[in-house]
Amino acid sequence: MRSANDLVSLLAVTAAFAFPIAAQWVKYPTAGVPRGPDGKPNLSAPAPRAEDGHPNLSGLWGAEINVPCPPDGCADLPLNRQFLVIGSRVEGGLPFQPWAAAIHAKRSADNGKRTANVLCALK
Amino acid sequence: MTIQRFASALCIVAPVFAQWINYPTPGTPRLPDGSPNLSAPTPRTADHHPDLSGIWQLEPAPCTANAIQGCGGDYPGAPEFGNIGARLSGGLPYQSWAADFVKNQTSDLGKNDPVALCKPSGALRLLTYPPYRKIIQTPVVIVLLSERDVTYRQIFTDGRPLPKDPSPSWNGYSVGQWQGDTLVVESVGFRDGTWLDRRGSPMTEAAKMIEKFRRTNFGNLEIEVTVDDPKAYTKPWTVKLHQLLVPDTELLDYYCNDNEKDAVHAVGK
Repeated sequence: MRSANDLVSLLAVTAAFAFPIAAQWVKYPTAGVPRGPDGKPNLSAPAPRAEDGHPNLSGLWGAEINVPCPPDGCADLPLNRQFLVIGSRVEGGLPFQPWAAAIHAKRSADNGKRTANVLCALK
Repeated sequence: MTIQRFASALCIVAPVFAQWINYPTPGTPRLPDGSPNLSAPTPRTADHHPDLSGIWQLEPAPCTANAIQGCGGDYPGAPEFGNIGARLSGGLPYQSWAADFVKNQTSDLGKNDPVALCKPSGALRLLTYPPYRKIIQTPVVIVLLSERDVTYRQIFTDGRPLPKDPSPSWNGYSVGQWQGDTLVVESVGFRDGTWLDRRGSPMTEAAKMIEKFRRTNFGNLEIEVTVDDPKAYTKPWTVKLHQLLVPDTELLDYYCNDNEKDAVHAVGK
């Protein structure tokens, strides 16, 4: 279960995405996408290849959504755990230097209120 | 430094000279002395279209003391950065409210310029801004990367139609098709309140823009831009933007809002 601290962090993070979203996505079929009989993209099809034989990485990608929304729904964008904690899948966590561990602890205690993207700036 | 020069320099606060990267651009034809041969033929893609890819700079004009009209006080710039209609006989055909707006903003030394306030510059200004722009061409989409605020713009060439009643955006929605060796790009869906130059020439959400990209040889790219915005202008107008290839370098990090401290000093007249 998510802690209250997590929820506050989530709120602070979502403040960084304060733009209208739903109305602006364009629903246009992407050319070259393999599709199933129902017309849906076949995301299990083999990786496409570029003319030079290399895998073609082109496309619009989103990080896997693995942070559950609250019972009343996500306030804004659904999130990936690594967006909140980049070392969330690193066993034992990130190997911080002492000064980095200290600043990480301070920022976490502050609920990320000084995160650069929350401030819309590079500070 | 004159007041005008100071006001204009506010919008271009990145350190410049120390950061250019000198790395030879692959595929660049060269002269016997190793320098890029900018008069070489236009390169072509595998699908035989002209390849517009490269880093480009709007041909700069000699700097003058009047930043609204020309140089930015920092980077060398072209007159169109200060006044998009600088080379149009009689200037831009403003609607009366637009003429008043430009007059007021010019007399206020452009202190309300969105660019000076670190806001997005819009699609057209991405072609006139002194920092470089990079074009990456693929068969289905052409991407314009702008050094200024590390921004992107997409021109879809996959045959899709323009969206109907799109949500207004800073760079609009662009589709392109090849007509011979010219890429013709149509764009709609711009935001009200966009400035097209330092003096405040406006663009409204009614605007339609047509660009014709033609790479005349390896080192030169002509972009003819027609703006049809009946809310702001009494008739469509067309300008030509001559872009020069900038080989053997790369775009740099330039975020206007990074450590920005100048806007509060822009007091206007």
